[in-house]
Amino acid sequence: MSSSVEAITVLSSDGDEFKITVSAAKLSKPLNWMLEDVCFSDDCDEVPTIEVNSKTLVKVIEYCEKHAPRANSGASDSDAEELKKWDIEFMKMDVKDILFHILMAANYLHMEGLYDLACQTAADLMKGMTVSQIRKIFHIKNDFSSEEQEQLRRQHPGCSFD
Amino acid sequence: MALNFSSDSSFLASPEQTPYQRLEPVVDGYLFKKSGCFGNVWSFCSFNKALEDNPCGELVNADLREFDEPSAVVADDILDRLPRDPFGMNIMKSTFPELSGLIQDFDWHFPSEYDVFGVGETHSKFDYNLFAGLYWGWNGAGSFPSGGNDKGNEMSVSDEFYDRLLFDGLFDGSLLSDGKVEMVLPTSHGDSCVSRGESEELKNSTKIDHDGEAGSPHDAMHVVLFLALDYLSVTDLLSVEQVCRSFRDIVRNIPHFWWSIRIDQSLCLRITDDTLVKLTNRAQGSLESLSLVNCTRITDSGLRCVLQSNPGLIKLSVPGCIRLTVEGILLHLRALKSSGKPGIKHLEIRGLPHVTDKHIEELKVLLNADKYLQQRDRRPRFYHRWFPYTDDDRVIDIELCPICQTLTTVYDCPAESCPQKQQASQSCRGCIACIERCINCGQCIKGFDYVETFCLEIRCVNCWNQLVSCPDKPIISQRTMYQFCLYG
Repeated sequence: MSSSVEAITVLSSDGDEFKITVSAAKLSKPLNWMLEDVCFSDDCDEVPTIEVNSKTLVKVIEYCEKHAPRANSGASDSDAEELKKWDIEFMKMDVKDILFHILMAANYLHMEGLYDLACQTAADLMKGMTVSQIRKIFHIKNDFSSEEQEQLRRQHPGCSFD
Repeated sequence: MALNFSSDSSFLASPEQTPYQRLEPVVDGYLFKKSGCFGNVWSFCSFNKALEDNPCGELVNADLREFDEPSAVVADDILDRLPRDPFGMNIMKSTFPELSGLIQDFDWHFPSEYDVFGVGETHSKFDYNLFAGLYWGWNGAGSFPSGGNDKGNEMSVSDEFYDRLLFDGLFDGSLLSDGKVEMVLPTSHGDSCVSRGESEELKNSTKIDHDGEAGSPHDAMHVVLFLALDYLSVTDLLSVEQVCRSFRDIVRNIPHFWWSIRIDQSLCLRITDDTLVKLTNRAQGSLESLSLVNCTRITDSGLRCVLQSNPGLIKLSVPGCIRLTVEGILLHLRALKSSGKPGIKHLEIRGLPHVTDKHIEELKVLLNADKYLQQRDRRPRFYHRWFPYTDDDRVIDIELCPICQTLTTVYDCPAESCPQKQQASQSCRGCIACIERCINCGQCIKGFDYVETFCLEIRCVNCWNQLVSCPDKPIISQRTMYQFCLYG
């Protein structure tokens, strides 16, 4: 990797260009590998495409930039606290619209921190919810027949139904 | 899982091949390039061959387990029949970080001297395990590709291979659309990427399929949720199970979700022997941790049933299960010991009736407690009223209270300035009956200011002030003391 480059340009799947700093890109394993193997210099005219749409990529890069300093240098507890708060704020997003894409992108870019965060967020949305609430939150249709429903009801007398 | 591995295995390719001279648009998840992932082909070929010799292929359609009703058809799991973690890599709850770590380790193990067969053989065992255990819990649903693949990066993986591995069609045909393995995630395509497979079972049971191009957000949502299921508790899983058919099938048939079962507040009074056995059966014999907190309806026979069908149980926690007896547990431990199996390593039995010194002595012997005593049991334990059942690594959770000499849980004092600690011989250890402690931080109240609420709960001044200043809580007054009583 050439040390002269501080930011690289990547393309989203929609064809938009995004700048991402090298330290932030390192959070993603594939990007990191790429950085190690490929010399990014001014005469390098190839721009890597990341198969993530622009809207998601913006968020992902935002996350990377925020977390990069800590990941690279390690941070004090107060920083960690603050970062946690930031994460919570960051994850306040529409489930259907973007959370899903973020999760996929985190998976695809091998970003464990973001992946865990996104999974945890999705799980938290389900926690303590009744069945109908979960359906509502995630826009899931109830496709059980009435018999199946009855069967479930009998199996789980302890669970919340409504 | 497999996909990841395969993509990653390209990194096993000999470095001399220096892959990335040209940077191609990223279509192939990791590689950022079109050709040159030679490792994939090699490793999969050999893997494939190794598999053919593997008797596990025959297990594919073996007996189907059901929870309650015959309609639960998705997968019998070869997982049970395989070593959980043959290399001691502790991948029980793997998410991709750990896995990637493993994969990278692999990479290091095969430097430039790169032996095809060696790699292949190792893969077969390793991969298999991963396939079996983590295919769903991890990124199973998410990372299976659909469309948008890099055609230049074909893998030599036959359909047969998948038939063998991806039993009963949950993933049949879903892993790869057409004989290619890539790590392309379909985020940009908006498909839900799970299943294009035409497997018969799928048609009626698992509804994750979609028609490839026009994946609806509905499907996509399912995939995300499957990934998140790993983070849910038993109660939530049971709720999720009732949401729709695909969820039901996933939750029921992926034993991974049930390796660790914890029953507390919401279910503890309802769960009976019968339901417990059914629930634990979902782990298909690979239960590792069982916590039953205050489950007053569970009896020895129910527990015995569970223990017998899950010999790999590592942690058993039954605090407050008053119908269980320590003899019943001892009986099981003796049987385990005599059969030479590695059994339970952590036991929590506080609140069980009639536990005597003799029992404890025998338990310690059976659990090899002496071995661990030095390292782990020295860690202090703090009292907390609302979370008394925190996980710690103690072998047995009860011991003789140094003050009253009864068998119970003994707590330490978290306060560094504790006057009791200052005195040389005293360490401020004792059961909650002997040393009164703040219900929030566990600090002893001797020599400190404290507040006693309406319902006789004790809080140290610090915790009390925090409570008062916390904006979410009601403002403190005589009346709120009463409210605490209600909420508590």
